[in-house]
Amino acid sequence: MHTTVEQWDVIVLGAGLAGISAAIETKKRGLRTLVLSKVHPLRSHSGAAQGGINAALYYDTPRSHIKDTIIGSDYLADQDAVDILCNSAPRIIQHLDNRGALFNRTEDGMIAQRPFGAQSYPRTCFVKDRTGLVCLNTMYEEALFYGVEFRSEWYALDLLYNPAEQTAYGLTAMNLVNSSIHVFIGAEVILAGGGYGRAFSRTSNAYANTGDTLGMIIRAGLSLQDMEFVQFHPTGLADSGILISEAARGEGGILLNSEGERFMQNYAPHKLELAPRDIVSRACETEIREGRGVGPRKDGIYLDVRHLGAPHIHSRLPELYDLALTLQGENMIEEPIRIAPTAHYSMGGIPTDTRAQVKKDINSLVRGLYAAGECACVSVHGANRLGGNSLLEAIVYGRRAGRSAAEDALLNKYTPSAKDGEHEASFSLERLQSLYLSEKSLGFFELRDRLRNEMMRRSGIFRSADDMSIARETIYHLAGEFRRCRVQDITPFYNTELQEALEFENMLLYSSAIVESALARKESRGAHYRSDFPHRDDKNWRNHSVFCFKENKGSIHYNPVLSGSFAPEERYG
Amino acid sequence: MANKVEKATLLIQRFDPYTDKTPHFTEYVLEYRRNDQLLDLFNRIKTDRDSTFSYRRSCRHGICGSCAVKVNGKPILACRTPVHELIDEFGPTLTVTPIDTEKIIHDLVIDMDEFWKKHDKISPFLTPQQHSGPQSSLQGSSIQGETLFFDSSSASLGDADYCIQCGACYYVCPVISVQPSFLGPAALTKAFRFINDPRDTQSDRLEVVFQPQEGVWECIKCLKCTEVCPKHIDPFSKISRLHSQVILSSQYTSGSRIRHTKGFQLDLLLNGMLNELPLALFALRIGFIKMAIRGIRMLFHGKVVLNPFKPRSKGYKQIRKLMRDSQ
Repeated sequence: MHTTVEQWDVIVLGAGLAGISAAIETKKRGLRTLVLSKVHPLRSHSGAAQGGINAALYYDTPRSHIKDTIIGSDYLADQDAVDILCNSAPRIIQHLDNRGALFNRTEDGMIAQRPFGAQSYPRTCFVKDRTGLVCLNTMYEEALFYGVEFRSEWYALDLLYNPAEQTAYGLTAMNLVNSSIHVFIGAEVILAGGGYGRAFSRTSNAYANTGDTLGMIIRAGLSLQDMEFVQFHPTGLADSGILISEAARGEGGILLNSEGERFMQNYAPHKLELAPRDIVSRACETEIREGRGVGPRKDGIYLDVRHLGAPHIHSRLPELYDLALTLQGENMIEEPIRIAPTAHYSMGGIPTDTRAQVKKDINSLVRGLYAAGECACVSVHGANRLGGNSLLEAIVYGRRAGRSAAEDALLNKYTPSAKDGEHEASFSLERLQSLYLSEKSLGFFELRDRLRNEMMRRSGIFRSADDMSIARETIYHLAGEFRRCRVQDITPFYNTELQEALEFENMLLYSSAIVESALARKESRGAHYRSDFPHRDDKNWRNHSVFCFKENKGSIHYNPVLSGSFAPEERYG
Repeated sequence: MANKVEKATLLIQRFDPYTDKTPHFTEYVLEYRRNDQLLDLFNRIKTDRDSTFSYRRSCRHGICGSCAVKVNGKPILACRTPVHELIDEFGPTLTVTPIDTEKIIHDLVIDMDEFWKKHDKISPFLTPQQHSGPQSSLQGSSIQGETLFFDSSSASLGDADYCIQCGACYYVCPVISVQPSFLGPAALTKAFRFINDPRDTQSDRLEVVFQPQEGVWECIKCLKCTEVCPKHIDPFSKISRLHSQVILSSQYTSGSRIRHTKGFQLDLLLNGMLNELPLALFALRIGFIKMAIRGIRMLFHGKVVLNPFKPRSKGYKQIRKLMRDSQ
């Protein structure tokens, strides 16, 4: 098979907010930059964010934003990283505004801010209920202005990494349109592959969120940090997991069980429905598990907004009204709608320093490799992300990744070269071929369903050693089964079955990282809840878990949290 | 009832250029429940019947724009259209084709390159005066030199920034197939969004929508784009307003298209009805000679009346008043 080799200064993988922000920075500094994405940039999942983007403007202070973020993280965030995030926020808003984002305004013409969960001030800037879409468009437009080169519908296969020199020097990727495989050589590689909620059967994530960058990292022998922290949003539509924004509860919506009881009184008597996301999610899940669920399968909870009245619902929650009606056939003006907790955001990912350069271990970095956005873990979200901080992180750390890559490229003048395309591509090609070799023509879709159900049930909102040991066995078993599967479709033209098989392979890898990390953490913190260890244990467990595969076995070690000026307190006192 | 199971027949156009010579239709009879979207049925075909079936998809709730297809000729987003609604509209057999049948890559996946090139062509980025506008009056503002702006200004852009580039309007537009250089409703909507953003400083923006064969002149005002837009953005009204903006702009005073519009208006004001012959002369000038042959043929077919001195319309005063009121 013929492989083409391409040489670039900077290769960015992923064209969501983080990837685009990074590419603008390197392109502005005169570096030849290529952005690869498996979907068109404007189809990226950043565009699905509704609520908003946080920044301390006007009477608010970045200091307060920092404090809220660290408390929200259940004291697992690194303060140096959070400082950068919150201090940069006002400039990011100004930049988006300058570049054309039509933020909602106050009557005086200044940027309006809405209150969001666990924030001391209303500091979430928003564009109606489409903030992500507008931010994504605005940044993409800026990238076009600078002439960034994008290649859409290229699926990345493997990272080119030299372990002896701790250096990344490119990646291999497949053009989905015709299945040609190219070797992309670049001194700087920026990973911005986004989230990976697809490993759970009920998720708000897009089909594309399959954690491909995480699979690449694991195959390269590098490590992943804080993988056990997966945020479940309390209100996804019960049937599909599609998000019903926090705004529904913010406007006054209440949660009811099958007995018509407003059960949040029993779990968070003061904050009720507006308690932190993880608490509300666990409350909903407890009600369902104890048989007080609603709907034909008793797997949901009622979200009731009827008392708000039709005019209020139409004016403040139009998108949510339409989603529930179209996707679930339920009219929230006339009846309560069925919701259930849904896998929403992954706090863990590829460990980086505050320059967004990827860490090899606690003291050393990988040369030429950077990561930003949901696939990365710098860590600003710690054990639990606050609403409105994810768009901000994608832009702030996306830019930093771009700037750091540009700095290093201009200082080092290091130019890697490919031996020949064959050598670099051989690993990826073997992987592809193996998907067609098995004699049995077993399909993998059923295996994928089993993985997603197992992750949801045994490694989701509630976790215990017993459950997760079973989940671990299941994953090993499924990985073995997968080796016996064969992809049926042999077309080179937009072979979605092949793509989904490769995605499933990544899903198996990072699911294993989630389960192993969760099994090892014997405490409850933020989104990670162990029914066998229900309390936070700052003495032994206030640290980042670092997972890595060595000789086909997962190994975990721990790095300290950079705590700074906020001492841990009880979060929900 | 929410969980009643019914049956739908999907007639899906399939084409894999690797194995097929021509596109063909394959029939799938599938059960569906009330809340199933068309995309759910696609997924079931892929996982249970034929794993080679290919289509684009991503967000599952109508915000990424990946999954636009045509059902019985009507463009829809597969992820946000309940099957029962389609069956109510078209009957129990649904014919599913790619959104454009000319440029198929595999099954329902098409090459949208041309669509994206047009998106990029209208200079889709704001050119602001950096740090412009009055200072924020509040003390303690973290934003230096904030540009004050108002929701009413955003509202005047008519949700043009809500476009998800799904292509529904573009691939239903009848002009694209006969005039491939026409920018189309999506790109013009984006152009409208920047032309009318008060913060933009690029002065030659109307140029791109003014271009013959590409710009607003090609629109035949069929309103199909507005009819199918899944986000209800109403591209037609944007094109229509751009049209007026070009006419009213002092930048463009010459050119047959401008004269045609102005002559049309003059004719109505003077006579209350259209008089084709003088209008054609007024708009085309010397080019009128080239058009004469077609004119003569039209005359023979009774399509035009050869009378340079048509009488005034009886209600011309009323027409004149209406025109004044509408301005």
